[in-house]
Amino acid sequence: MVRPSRLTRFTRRVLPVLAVALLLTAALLLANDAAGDSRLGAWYPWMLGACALALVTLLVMIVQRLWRLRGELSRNVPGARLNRRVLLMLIVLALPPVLIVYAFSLNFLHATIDTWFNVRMERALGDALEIGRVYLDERLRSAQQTAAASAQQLADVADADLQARLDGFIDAQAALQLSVFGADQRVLATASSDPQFLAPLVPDSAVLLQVQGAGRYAAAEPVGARLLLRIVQPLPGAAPGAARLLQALYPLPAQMQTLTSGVEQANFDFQRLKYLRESLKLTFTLVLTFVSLLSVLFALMMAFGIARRLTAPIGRLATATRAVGAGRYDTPLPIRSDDELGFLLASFGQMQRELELSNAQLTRSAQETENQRAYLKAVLERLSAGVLGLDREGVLRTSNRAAETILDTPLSRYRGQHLTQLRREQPVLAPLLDRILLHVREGAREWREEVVLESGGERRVLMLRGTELGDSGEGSGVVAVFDDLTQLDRAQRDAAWAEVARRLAHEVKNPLTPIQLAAERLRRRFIGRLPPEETELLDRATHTIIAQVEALKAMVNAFGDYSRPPQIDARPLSLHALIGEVLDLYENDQRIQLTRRFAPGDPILRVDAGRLRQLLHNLLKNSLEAIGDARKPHIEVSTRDIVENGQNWIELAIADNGPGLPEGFGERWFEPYTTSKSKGTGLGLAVAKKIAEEHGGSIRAENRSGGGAVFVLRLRCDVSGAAMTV
Amino acid sequence: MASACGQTPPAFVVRSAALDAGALAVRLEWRPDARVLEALDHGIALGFDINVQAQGRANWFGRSTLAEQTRHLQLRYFPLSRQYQLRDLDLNQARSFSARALALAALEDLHLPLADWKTVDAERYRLHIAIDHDALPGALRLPALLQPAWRMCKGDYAWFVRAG
Repeated sequence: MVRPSRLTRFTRRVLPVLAVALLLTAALLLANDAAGDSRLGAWYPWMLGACALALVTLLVMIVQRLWRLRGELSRNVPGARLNRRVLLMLIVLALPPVLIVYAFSLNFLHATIDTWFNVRMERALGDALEIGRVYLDERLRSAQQTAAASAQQLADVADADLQARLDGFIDAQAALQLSVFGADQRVLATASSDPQFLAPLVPDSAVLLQVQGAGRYAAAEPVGARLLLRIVQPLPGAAPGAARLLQALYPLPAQMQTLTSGVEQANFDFQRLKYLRESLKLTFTLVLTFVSLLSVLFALMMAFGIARRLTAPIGRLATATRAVGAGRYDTPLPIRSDDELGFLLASFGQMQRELELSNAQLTRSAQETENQRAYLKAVLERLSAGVLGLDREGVLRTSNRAAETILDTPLSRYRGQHLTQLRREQPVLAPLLDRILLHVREGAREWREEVVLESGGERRVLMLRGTELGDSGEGSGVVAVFDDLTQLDRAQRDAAWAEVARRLAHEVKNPLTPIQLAAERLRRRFIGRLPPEETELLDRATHTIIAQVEALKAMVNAFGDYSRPPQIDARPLSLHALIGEVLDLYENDQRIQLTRRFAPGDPILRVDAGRLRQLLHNLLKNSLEAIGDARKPHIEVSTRDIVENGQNWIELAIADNGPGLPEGFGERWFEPYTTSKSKGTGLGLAVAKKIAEEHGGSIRAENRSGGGAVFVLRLRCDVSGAAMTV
Repeated sequence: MASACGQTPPAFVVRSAALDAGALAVRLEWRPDARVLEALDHGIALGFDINVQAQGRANWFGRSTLAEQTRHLQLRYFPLSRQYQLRDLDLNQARSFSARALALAALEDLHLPLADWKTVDAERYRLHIAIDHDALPGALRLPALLQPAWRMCKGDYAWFVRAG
């Protein structure tokens, strides 16, 4: 909100007061003027203009305030609506009394002015005036007679003697002035009893006209403040062209002068007032209207000020409330009164400060919680163990990356969904999920067990541990943690087999040579010396012993190979060339049909050629033994490049058309002494798997769709190596 | 060169004016509204301002006023004596008339002494006559401002020195 300048504030405060003062003064002067005070008559239009100007100023200021209020209402300024309501209330309170007083005053004023003009009084005044006129007429007649007698006496008097005669008449007739005019109104003689009338009053053309017409002029004439009887008549006996005129001025008696003057003044005032009645009404109505308008407009101005003053703290409070709602607590709330509003503002200010403090604490707590959560998430993400967080209903709430890796499932997609949904879409995980759901349903506080997941012939062992989180509330539920024990389990098995092999080598292989030597000695000593039947028996027995000892030696050697620590002499070589060398050994075997189907190019791998050659032999021998007596034995050896998770791999597949994998073929078939064949050591696949793992690869077996089995060896293909094609 | 103002019919029409031997002789016509005459008959004195200006040569800004005189007349009715009185307020001289027509006729043929303007090098004279609103009673000033009967136009007349 833009704060108005000091000049604007001064103008807003002072201008209405000036306008009101001007209007009041002008109205007062107008009223005085109408009542008869004519000292300011020359300023009358200016006073009217001042009134109009003051009214226009007040109106403009009110319109300006209304316009500002309208703007505030349209902008939804806090407190504007309350301001409007208070303003309307104040107007409703102030306006009717002013209008009522105005109407009654107007009516009273008009009635009062009308009462001034009483008919009986007017008639009485008229009668008094008429009496005065009758008296004047009577006095005029008397004055005419006196003047006529004087004229008669002066008729024969020479011009030179006129003055003396007039001096004699003036006192005798109690005249004010006596004058005799000759031709061309030349003064022949004049006499006066009052120094104010020393100069004769010369008859004008109108008087002379009447003298010529009526023979004399007789009239009561106001002269200064007095009423005089003026008689002008010619002196008798003079020729028409040289007529002399006698003019006589007679005063009224002093008492009658006062009385007639009073009567005339009273009548004069009454008639003037009568004529001015409507004008008085109009003027007083105008003044009253000015004053009423002044009252209304001033009340409006005051209403604006009072409404604004009353609602300003509430407006500030509303602004501060909005600010608090928007999260800002720094809105200043100046307290300018010690009333309830001031108390309210002070309380709100205190609440604002407390809210600010609480909010700051809340923000800090939220930040700490967020940090804690981020830390926990980081820990979870870096855990090698998989973690699943569930609520008490079995809905997945959280999971970490390790869980997705171990279960090979995008678990984030299932957050917020029940585990049964995940189980439906990922049936491979059923053994794990079923156990978790079981424990959730049973409300077990803690559990620990081993779970085996099998998919695509791969067997994975998971160690599942679960713990209940809290008893109730937002954080309650279950957390399940599982580790992939497959590698560990396999390592343990490998270590066990290695121990078996070492013991076999130590415990079994050592006695075999003496046994074989003993059997050979028996043959040398007794064959040919015993009867033929005995010799034949001995020959068969010793031969069997020697053969079995050889077999045992072979078996022990095989175990030795299996248990030998990996000593890889890896060098870059052409995979296809190596496969070709091995396959060439089987090319001439009439029992089988051998097919090669290599991928384009010649991948170069970094492998131990001898160990890889042994692996291939084991797989080929395994296939040959599996085919057995099939009608058209066929082995197909193929390679292909694949890219998985950004890593290049080479897959070597050896497929046969034999009976296929036995029922329940799985990971265990790659362990020693797991075979479905009557012959063999049961170590071929175990050694093959061991060699594959020594090279960072893997081996798997699956049935072919058209019959038979296929063993797939997957080896890591270095990018640099892959580029080295021959 | 008599002038009127606007649409209001001219109340004063100056027929001729002359300034000779220190006296102003004016012949004019005055056609007052009935309300004005009614006011006169009800005892309200009517004041008249007669302003005479001696003006110099015209330039871009109009004519300059070299000298100026104003005479004040008053016409009043006395009900007791039934006399109309035309008073020269400056000279305190009065003439009484037994009839209103005589008084109005006297007003239409004025001979007013003025100060001598022989030393003033005037090119023309300008006469302005009007009712003095300031002299009206206070109650009558508002109608005098508003009503056409009172808002009577000022009579103006101008004549060149040689031609006049």
